[in-house]
Amino acid sequence: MGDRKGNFMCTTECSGNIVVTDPAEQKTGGFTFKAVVKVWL
Amino acid sequence: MGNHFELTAVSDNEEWANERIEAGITEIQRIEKLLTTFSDESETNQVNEHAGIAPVAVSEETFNLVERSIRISALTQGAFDITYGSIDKRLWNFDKDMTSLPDKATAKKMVRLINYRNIVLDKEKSTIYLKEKGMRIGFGGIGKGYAAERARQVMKDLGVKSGVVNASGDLCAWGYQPGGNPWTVGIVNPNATKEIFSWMSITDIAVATSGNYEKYVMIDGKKYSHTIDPRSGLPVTGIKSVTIITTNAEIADAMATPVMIMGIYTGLDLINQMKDIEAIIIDDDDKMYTSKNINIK
Repeated sequence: MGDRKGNFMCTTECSGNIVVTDPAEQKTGGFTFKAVVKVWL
Repeated sequence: MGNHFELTAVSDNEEWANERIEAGITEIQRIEKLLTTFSDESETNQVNEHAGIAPVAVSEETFNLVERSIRISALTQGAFDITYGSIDKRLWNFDKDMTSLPDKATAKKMVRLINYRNIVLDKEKSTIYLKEKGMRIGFGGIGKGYAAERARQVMKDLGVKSGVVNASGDLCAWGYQPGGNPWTVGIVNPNATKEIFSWMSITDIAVATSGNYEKYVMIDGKKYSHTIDPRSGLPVTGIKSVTIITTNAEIADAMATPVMIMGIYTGLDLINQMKDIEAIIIDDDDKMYTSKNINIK
């Protein structure tokens, strides 16, 4: 494996912007489905 | 470390949605293999290992990404530079106490190998050559946005009309929530990373934030961020966070850090000259600055 070279300019872990979905979404017949993956970019 | 990507799809069919989310994940992992500096096999590291020795043939995708990165470097006058991987980090340790800054000449020496003009591209042969031995490229400033944008495209191509790809806070959203409302994006408070300072309703938009929330040092009462100006070798000061709002996640990701490096007035001046891109900047005194088309209510 390589190491974490060149991390200085990245925004990794600097941001925490989030998306909030409406709590009433279930009433409308559609749903949001989610999955999370961790990668080394 | 690493980055968490959260993929969201709107559907009334769970299996259908999960298949498409899986396709988005596969795309992100494919890009990781191509670009990561954590694997010796990635094209990025192949190019780096041959710096000063020989050009390396790469995929059209990597070649094009490097070409676009160089364009952003030129646009930002070197504030964005994928050769920042060449930085000599011995001077900096933001996890420990630093009591003084290096002198300008020493700092400059530490970034002597950072220069996007020393990336030689041969489009016909699809090769990349780094002129100087020890030079390194890395996609830390653009790779997350690129991967998010690609995942969005893959999911859209598979019929997902509404969704979100959130790459550790750098996110893109398309379509609408199930109830028909635009997506609600919370921008993190630079003073308290667990809090949100502003909300936006968006659709078909990408948002990226660069900030010095946690990794910084205080020297003589002044806060220095862990973001190093690749041109001077010195840390950025005066800005807490930069949020970029535009249509493309790659551009949003790529522009956040250079605007921080360029500073409030030069950074906003650049953004104001570009089409379909906006910025919100918060300085060290919590004063907010925005590009001309942003109205904060």
